[in-house]
Amino acid sequence: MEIEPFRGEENLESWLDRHHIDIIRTQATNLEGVSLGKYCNRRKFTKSLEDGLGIADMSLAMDLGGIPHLTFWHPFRHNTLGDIALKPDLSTLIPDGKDPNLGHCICDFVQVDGTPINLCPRTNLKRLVQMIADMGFEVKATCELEFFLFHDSFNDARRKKYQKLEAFGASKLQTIYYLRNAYHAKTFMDEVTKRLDCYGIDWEGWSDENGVGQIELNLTPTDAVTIADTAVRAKQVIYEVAVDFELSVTFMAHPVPGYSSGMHIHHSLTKNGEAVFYDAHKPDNHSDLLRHWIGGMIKTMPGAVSYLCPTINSYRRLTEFAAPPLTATWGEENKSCALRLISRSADLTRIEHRLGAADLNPYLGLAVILAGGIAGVRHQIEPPEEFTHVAWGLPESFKRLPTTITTAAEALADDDYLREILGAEEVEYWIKTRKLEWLSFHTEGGDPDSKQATPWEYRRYFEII
Amino acid sequence: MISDFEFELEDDPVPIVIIFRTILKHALSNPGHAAIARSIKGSFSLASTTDPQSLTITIDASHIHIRHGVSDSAKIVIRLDFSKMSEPGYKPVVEGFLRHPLLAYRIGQLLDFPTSSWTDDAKRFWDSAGSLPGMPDAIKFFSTDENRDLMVGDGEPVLEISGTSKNLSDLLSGATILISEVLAGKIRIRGSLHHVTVVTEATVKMMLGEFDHGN
Repeated sequence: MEIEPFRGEENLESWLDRHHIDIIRTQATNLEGVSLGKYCNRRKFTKSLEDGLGIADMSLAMDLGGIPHLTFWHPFRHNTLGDIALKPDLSTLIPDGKDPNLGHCICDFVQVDGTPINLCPRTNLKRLVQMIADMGFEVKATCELEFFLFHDSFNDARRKKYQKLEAFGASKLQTIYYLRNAYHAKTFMDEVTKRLDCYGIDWEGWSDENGVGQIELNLTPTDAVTIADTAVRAKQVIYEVAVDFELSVTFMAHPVPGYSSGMHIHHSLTKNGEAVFYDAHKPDNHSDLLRHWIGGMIKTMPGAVSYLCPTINSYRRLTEFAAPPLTATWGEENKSCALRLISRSADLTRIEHRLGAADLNPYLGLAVILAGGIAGVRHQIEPPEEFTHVAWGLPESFKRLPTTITTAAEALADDDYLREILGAEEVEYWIKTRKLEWLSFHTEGGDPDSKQATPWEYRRYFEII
Repeated sequence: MISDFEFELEDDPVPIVIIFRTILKHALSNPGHAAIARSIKGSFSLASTTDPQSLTITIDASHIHIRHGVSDSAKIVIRLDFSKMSEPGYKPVVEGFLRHPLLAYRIGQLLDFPTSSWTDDAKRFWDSAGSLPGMPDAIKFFSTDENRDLMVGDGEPVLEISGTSKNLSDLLSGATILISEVLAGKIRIRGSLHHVTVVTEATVKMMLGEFDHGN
């Protein structure tokens, strides 16, 4: 292997030396958004740059109960149980900063011969970002991470079957931005942000959120793949700090009665650093590109729900006046719409997609959003009129987005645009995974009439998602 | 024979509702069973004793409506373990029997599903699923109690599936799922993981009635 300079060092080895890194934790994200990986020594890691690190092919095709997908097939898998590989992306290699010997590196799932696997969520997102680059644009994105923090350790939470946990906060009332509530979580969040700083992960702020014990962490906008990498890394950091502090956290979409966690995703396009959603010559500042981009996202939104609300629990968020949108609408500074447009200046112009649940896979969530935009431009899709009312509590006749995992999967199956952009085989496979999630819920003890999260959901999602 | 019953399901039906449509459709293709169904008018419910699954079946002439949950309108409520309902001698708890003995008796007859020949089921299964992408060119079924086999499809038998006649019939008529039966030791297989997975998918489709083109 040719030895190349690495980040100002003579080569990777000298960079690892300078950072005293002996062990590298590799990390890849499977379809369900679960982080997988291995701790390996330097020798193994540097060897894996050529060959990848072997990992069972089932790791990419496994449900949230840890059961391999044995009811549908994808060509990336082997006829018998075989290996695929984790291919490190050296651009993501970072020192842990806290653990003096440890480094971290994000990987893609590839075949053992290095061939990319499009079913790999990160690979698919990279493919879409490249499509956008081929159109002449760069994507800038960020996401808001919402989660619930509890005084109970994970062991205690497990013993209590994840219910009636003691949430952080001064008040048991529905509050938001309350500094007194936030102060209860400050020691925890100080450690989280310290570790993010050690990782070199840019974060902007955090605050008390609407639910009791709910916190929102805001990440600094960057390119689309990096922000997805950052989201999965930040989730892992938050989990690890909770373990170290003998607390528990969850990214379940609806873990406690009355409150939900979302993952709002903001994005904009630039060309050579200039905002291209903004056009100062238009009375509304909206460029033609933005119009079609929104048109595509609105058109594909029913199908996109399947990726943005991936679990049984995701759909418990979707109630009137509870913050998540219920309709495929867009509006300037309108937080009741699925797409909140901010276009008061070129620098600020962006779209906030408000539909995503906290339990979504950040790579797939971003991918399906961008796919909608790409479809809009490619097919010159016109958006509906801006929605200028409150988009909740609307008459029954107003069309709603899918509200169940099955109806969302059906909408996705009917969406030729998303199939075209995301890949027919990958979309088909995803639909089958959603059907499996539905079957598992109903045949493994889930109660379809429960108005609150069921024991099945807590067991399956609380610690894993 | 194709049943002339019209099935109507609740919106966005849960699996147990869809599965019972499949089971009833299969059963009602038997003329004797169709006659039993026509003699029933009203609603009855089945509720699992092991999990929250339940459904209500309403029969009115040739119209059958199925929805999840135990309905207040159900005259008979049968509480049972769905996984055991086809086992010989299994006795579920029947509520409403004393007030509606004839209806209960007929429902009992209806739910005593006719047995079909595993070879006929295998041929029907292959007719429905044989052309699915990724299916093996041929499947060789072997009945361990009858000690005989049946090949469906053309070419080398690339997947072998064996079990008792009853277990084969359940599998091929949409009552069970291949990989679950393999894990339970009721069915044995020899072939590639690819073929086992695709045939498992076919059994799921069979169970959920996805090969049916009627209502």
